[in-house]
Amino acid sequence: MIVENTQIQMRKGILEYCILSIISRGEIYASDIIGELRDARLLVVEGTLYPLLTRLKNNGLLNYNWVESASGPPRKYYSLSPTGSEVLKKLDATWEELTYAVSKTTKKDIEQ
Amino acid sequence: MNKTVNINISGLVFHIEEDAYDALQKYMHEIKLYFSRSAEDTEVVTDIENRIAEMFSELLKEGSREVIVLGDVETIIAQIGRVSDFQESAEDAGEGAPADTASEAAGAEAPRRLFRDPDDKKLGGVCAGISHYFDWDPVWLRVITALLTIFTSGIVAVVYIILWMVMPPARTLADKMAMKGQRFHLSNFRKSFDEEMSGVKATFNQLKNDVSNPGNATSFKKLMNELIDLLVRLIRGIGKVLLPIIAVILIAMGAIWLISTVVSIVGLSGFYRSDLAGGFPLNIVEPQYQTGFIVSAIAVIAIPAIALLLLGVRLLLKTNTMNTHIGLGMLAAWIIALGFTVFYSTSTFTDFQQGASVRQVIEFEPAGQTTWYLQLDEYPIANHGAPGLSSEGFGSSGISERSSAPIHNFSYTHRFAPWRNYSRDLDDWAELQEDIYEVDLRIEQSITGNAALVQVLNSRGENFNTAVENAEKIRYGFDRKDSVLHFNRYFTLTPGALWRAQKVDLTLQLPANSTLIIDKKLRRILENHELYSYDFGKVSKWVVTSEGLKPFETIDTAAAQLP
Repeated sequence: MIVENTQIQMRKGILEYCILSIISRGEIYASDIIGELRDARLLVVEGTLYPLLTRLKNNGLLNYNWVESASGPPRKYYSLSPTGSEVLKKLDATWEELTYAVSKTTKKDIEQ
Repeated sequence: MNKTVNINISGLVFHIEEDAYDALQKYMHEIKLYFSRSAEDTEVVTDIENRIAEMFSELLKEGSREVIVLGDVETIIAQIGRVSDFQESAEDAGEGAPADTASEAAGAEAPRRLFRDPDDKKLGGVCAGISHYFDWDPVWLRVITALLTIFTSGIVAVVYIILWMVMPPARTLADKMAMKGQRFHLSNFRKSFDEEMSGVKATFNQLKNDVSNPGNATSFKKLMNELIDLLVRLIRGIGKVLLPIIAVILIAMGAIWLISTVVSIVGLSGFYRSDLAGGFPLNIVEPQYQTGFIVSAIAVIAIPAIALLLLGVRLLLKTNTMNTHIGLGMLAAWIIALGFTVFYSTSTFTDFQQGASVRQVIEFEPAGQTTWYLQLDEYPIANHGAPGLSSEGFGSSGISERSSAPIHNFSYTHRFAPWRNYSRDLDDWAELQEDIYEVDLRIEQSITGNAALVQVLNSRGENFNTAVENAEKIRYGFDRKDSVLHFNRYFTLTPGALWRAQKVDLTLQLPANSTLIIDKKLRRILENHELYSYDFGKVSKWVVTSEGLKPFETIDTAAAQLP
């Protein structure tokens, strides 16, 4: 169970980071986000994404616009708020540090 | 041709087939229940509804159709995912939400359940599973279990095997999470009660809407459905609060029932081996039926107790403690056992249909107007003649030989062995025994003028002849030495004889004006009601009259005469 707990902890942070990164590329619709996450094998069902987006939005990291749709009700298009961009920058830096730390520590045996 | 329903999702109207509508409604209900904790959740539900509307529109456009069918609903459910998927991915993939919303919600949805832990097992993972459930360290539970197994000579091992059988293993990740999930707590019940009640409120509001806006073609059926839904939710909500209480009551009832069954089995088997009880109540049943009768009777009593216990545990732990096969097997075993018990009982009851009595008169040679001394002997029933199955089934052959000898010859050897000392803890049974094997004695004036003892041996049987045979199996020890009459308090049955409500009525007929000195103890079997008004301790001598016994001499006068 320790393994699973660690896995959950690792994925939790990465998932948010990935979502913010996807959104940073421009206004995007929720079901397009899920498509990318599904390709990356991070998430499978849409139902799990909505609570996450809502939470990020309520924390002020995301903005959204209603965009009229040809098929169905208006869509929510998400984009990063200024706060979100700042957070993402910090996360980018953290990620660099982490990848360095991880590669440094896990590959040490091979280098020596 | 299928009936369709009109629905409005996020402002769009769809025609949807009825079965598809039912599936969608059920799904949306699950979603709403899952996301029903905060304002944030309401937004999530709206997002999902919008997405469903959008996907329906796309599906219809792609297929150039106008009606949503069940397959479409299944497609969108696969896309958005079921509530169980949210939980799995919240645990499995992490889902991203830290402790505050999603994982907490998932935790609340998955109360702790009892599983065997395959990851941390020494034998079957039972101890580990129980330890997870109660937050214990499995090491201590294992040590205690091992020690108890030794001290109880294996009973705990049987319990372990039963638990192994009934506890499901934690196979999936969801099982493992549930195994260590949120602790079983009263507030959880409140929470789930509140959830149910919010569902009740929602349905009720919908119902109110429908009632105030009639005219919809499907309104009546829909109304009925919603009404039933409302009822079910109400019952479920109340049930969630009552369930643990009911479960505890069931467990307590089952446990008490089972324990008392075990205690009575132990008690009975005690009688089975010792001769203390004179074979009763086991000698009611014919010897060839006895084992079958006992086994089936125990099964009839114990199986419902076990079922009750398992049901209680199942309700309390919300774990499937009984699979269908075990359940059906238990039911079948119970019905078979019941059949046997009824068979044995009825075949035994027919043995009580007919009554008969045998009358024996023992004449005493004319003794004139002497004083009779009446004594009462009390010794263990089993020690003379060993009635019932005892000597035949388990006793040594010596006992049956001895019992064929005249009873009063060896009865004296046990005269000073008060049987109650042997069976102090069996006092209740002892009293029953006294009632069953005790004789009744009446003393009356002889009409003929001769002294005699009339013994009437009563019994019951399947017919008159067997009743007489059963009566003749009564052995009663009466002994006379000149004017000293020794009565025995109890009669017995010949070895191997069955108990058929045998009874011994004795009548001592004495000439008028005979005087009697009666042992105080004899009052126990004496049926002369006219004596009850006298203080037995104070009357030293009695006289026989036509109106029964009268005091002849009292202690006071005797004492006055002494000095």
